Amino acid sequence: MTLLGMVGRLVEAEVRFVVIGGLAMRAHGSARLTEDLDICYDTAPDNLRRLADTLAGWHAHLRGVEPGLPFVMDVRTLRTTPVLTLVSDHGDIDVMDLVAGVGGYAEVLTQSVETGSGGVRFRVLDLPALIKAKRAAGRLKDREQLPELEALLARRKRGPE
Amino acid sequence: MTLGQFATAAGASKRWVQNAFQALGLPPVYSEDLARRLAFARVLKEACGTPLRRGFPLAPQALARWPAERSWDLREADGSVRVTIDLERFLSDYAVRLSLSRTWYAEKRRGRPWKRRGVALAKWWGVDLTLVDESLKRTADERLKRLDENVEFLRSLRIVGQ
Repeated sequence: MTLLGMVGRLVEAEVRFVVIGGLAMRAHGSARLTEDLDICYDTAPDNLRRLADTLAGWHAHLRGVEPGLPFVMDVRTLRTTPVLTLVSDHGDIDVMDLVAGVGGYAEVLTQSVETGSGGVRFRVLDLPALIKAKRAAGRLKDREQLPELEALLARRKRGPE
Repeated sequence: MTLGQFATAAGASKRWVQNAFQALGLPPVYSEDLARRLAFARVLKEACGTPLRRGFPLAPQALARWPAERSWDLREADGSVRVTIDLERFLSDYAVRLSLSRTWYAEKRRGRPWKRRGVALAKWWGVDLTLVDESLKRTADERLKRLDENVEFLRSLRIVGQ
C-alpha cells in the first residue's frame, strides 16, 4: 500500500488527524522523499478507538524493538504515550498527540491546510507551523530541513525570484 | 544508551534515575535490562509504596515469568495487601518507551560532528536508523517499487487553492 493508501484508509475509518513531517513538507513543495507517514491525532475517545482499531488491523508494532517484547495496540496505549513509532503491514507510521512547538491536535488543526490526491482529502500542517515544529524539535535532522522550509515560505510570500 | 534514553525507557526523569541509582548503590552504567528492572520497581513504588530497595530485587524473578504467566502477584506476609502486575501490559508499556528512546529521543550533542563516521555520524545527526533498518529488510526490488509508488503519490499532492 502506498502512503496515500494509508492516509485513505485512515480517512475511510473516520480518524481525525493532521499529516505532519515529510509528507506535509512534500505537499508544500519540498523535494525530499519520505518513507513514513507522520500524523497528529485527536485524543477524543471515539477517535482513539478508531485509530487504535485501524492500526491494530494493520498489525502495527513498535519500530526498533526486538520481537520478543509484547505490544498491545489499543486505546490505552494511545492514551498513555505521546508518540508511537510503528511498523505496519502497509508501511512505517509515527502517530503523536502533540507536535513540539505547535501544540496538541486542536492547535495543529487550526494551523493546517487541506490537501488531497487520488480523490482522498486530508489536512497537512501548514508551512509556518512546520517550521515552528522543526525548530522546536531541535534535532540535527530537523535543523537540517529548516533552510529548505524557510526558502519555500519565502518563495510563497514573494513569488519565484 | 545515554542517561536520557535510559530515563525515557524507564519512564522517569533523569533526576529520578540518578537518585534511584544512588539509593540502590548502582554504578552509572545504563542498559536496557536495567531500565526494565528499574521501571518495574518504579511501578511497584507508585502502586503501593514499595521501597525501591525492596522492589528492584523482585523485578528479575517477576519479569522472568512472562510469557508463561500473564501476571505476577506481590503479597504481604500478613496477607493484608496483594498487588497484581499485568506483565503483558507492563512490558508493552516498557516496549513503547524503549522504542521512543531509540527512535525519537535526541539530546543535545557536543563536540565536532565531522570526526564521526558512518553510523556514529548518522546517530549524531539524528538520523532515525530504525527507518534505515526497516528499509534494508526489503529487497532492492521491493524498495524501488515502494519508492516508485511513493513518488507517484507525492507528485500528485497539491495544497488546495494553490
